[in-house]
Amino acid sequence: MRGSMSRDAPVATAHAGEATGSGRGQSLLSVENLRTHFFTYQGVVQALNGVSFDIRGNEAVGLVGETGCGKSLTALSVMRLVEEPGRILDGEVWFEGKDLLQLTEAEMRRIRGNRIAMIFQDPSTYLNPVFTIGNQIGEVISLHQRLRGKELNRRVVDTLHMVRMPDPERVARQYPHQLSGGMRQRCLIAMAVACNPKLIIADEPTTALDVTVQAAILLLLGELRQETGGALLLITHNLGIVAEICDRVIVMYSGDVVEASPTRELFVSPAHPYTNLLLDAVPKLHQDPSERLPSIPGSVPNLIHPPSACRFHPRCPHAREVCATEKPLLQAVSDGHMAACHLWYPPRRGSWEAA
Amino acid sequence: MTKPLLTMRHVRELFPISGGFFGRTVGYTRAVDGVDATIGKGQTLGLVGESGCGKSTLGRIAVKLLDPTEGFVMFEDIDLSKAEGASWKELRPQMQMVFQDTQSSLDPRMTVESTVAEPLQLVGMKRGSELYETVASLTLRVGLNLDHLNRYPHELSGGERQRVVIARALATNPRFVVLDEPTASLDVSVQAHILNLLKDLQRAFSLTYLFISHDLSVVRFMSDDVGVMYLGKIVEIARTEPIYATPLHPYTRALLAAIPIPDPTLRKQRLVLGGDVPSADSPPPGCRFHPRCPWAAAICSEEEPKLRGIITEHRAACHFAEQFKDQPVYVSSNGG
Repeated sequence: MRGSMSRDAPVATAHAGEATGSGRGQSLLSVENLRTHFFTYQGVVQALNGVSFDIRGNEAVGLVGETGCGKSLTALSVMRLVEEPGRILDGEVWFEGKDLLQLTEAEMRRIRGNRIAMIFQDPSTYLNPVFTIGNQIGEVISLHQRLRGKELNRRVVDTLHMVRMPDPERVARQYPHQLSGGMRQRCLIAMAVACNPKLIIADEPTTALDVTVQAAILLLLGELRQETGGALLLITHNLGIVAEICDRVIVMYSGDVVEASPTRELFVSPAHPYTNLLLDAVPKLHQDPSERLPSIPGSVPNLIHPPSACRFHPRCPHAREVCATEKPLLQAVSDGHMAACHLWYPPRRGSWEAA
Repeated sequence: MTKPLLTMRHVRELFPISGGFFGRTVGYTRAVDGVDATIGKGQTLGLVGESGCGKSTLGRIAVKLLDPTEGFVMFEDIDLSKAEGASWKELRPQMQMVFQDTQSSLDPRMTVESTVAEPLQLVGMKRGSELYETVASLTLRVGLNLDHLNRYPHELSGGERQRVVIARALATNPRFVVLDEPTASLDVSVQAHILNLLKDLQRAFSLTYLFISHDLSVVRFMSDDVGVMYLGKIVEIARTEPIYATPLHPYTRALLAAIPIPDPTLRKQRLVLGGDVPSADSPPPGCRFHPRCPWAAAICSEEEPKLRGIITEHRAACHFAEQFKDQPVYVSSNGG
């Protein structure tokens, strides 16, 4: 896995413009310096503070972070679904040779659900209770492909079949309340894959589900990706899910990307102090229960008055003076592994572990 | 095991389902269907299971928020269903509960101070400056500071609200606390703080916990004994170590295999269950797990397996539990 990573080394760095330019050819989605702020009465919430990352053709990328770090907002910004008082101030979102932020609303509508599809967290609120499942999946298909009548129905049933729905013909005639949580989530996945998108963004797709159902849904997402050859951006706070199904992981903290790395490397040798602390804070199945769980001191910062420079510095055990004055850039730590931390200048493995 | 503080015997809770024009009872939801469990003094019993398995109902029965339809609960040597009037008034402060959703278990119009003070006033323990001091020391004990005393719930973060709920639960100096998914709505870094706090408090006040969660790794971290529930029944119960090392019930094995582990170097058995949890209104005949069980045989749909000891202190309700005795779920791998 490491071998393949080094061959086509990822190229998104917030500062190196030329490097990202050459990266556009290889990557399916390339987000550069995305800034989304919310203009509220209390002040400007600097929710996304220059987010950059890449997703290649058939990768599964995990976007992780805690509540309020901006991971869902990143997805909404990519889809241009940010609502007032939020506004995308700056940045570029390159997808299939187009900057999505420059498209008209009509052009964007042809991409949503068709080229990029999204799966949301709570399946019961994203399904309309007064329409049948078949009707709702059919709507997506008829919007993007001129199918009508019997042909459309066949496609709906095929799509439900694709997500391993038991008895798809019957489910197509049923209403959301007649289905269980896991089946509803399968319907949302069916809506997402109906038009064979190149990229599926799944925002906490299993958070509302029980673990055994979650396992089945994750298995399905993995299998679908292999069948369709699309890419998956999986947004989650669950590091376990990322470890199991993602090729690469992007870690966000307080509106910044702090680390991006191949999955295995992230878990074995995290480069950013926040990632390291976050990994430690999860209770493990092989941990000695008599020990205390390592925890991160302090709490998530207020985004109206975020800490200066590196937003993690007030909670960071390795913070130095420079961390409060100069914003660290996302830089390569090793092949395909990037971190935004001053303790990596010059990049030295384990420099903060020794500190 | 230490002397039991809480003993549950054949506990059963049936909720009537009303239907038809006259709202007659047409059936029963068997939320808890014959549970036996004991919790030793100063110990933690973890209860895991998926939504609807009856773990929260059992938690409520344990502190007499619900009376069981059948069976009984003994707190030391007092039968809770017989505790009424004065004896119940004496017993009530000794058992407390912490709920999952802090937003709805705190009154939005009460400050932290009055929230924590309320149980103390109710049991008539303290007044005036003595009351304030007790509240202040409780607040400090759970890791809040005195500035928090005058705040309202909406001014607090999720982790802080959970600390207030814990302080309130500890106010009456309880001996037994039911923790119903205390960290389910919290981020991992906040969860770590709360779990550490709960362990510290247990040691400091020699508390006995019933810890309810759907997160198996959290339960492992917190518990001395673990009970796994499925559709109102305990299907496996044992000390924490053996149940995680070699689970003997197929459902426990499936649960363990289903939790995503934040460690790419760990390999585990692939075991994905088909279908959803059946409804507790009409559980499947025989073993309730048999429609989803990969090892199900003919006997499983006919005869209900009893919870029986397979190894010392390790009980499972499966006809074929013996076959799992030397089969760990996890295998560590260094390749890949």
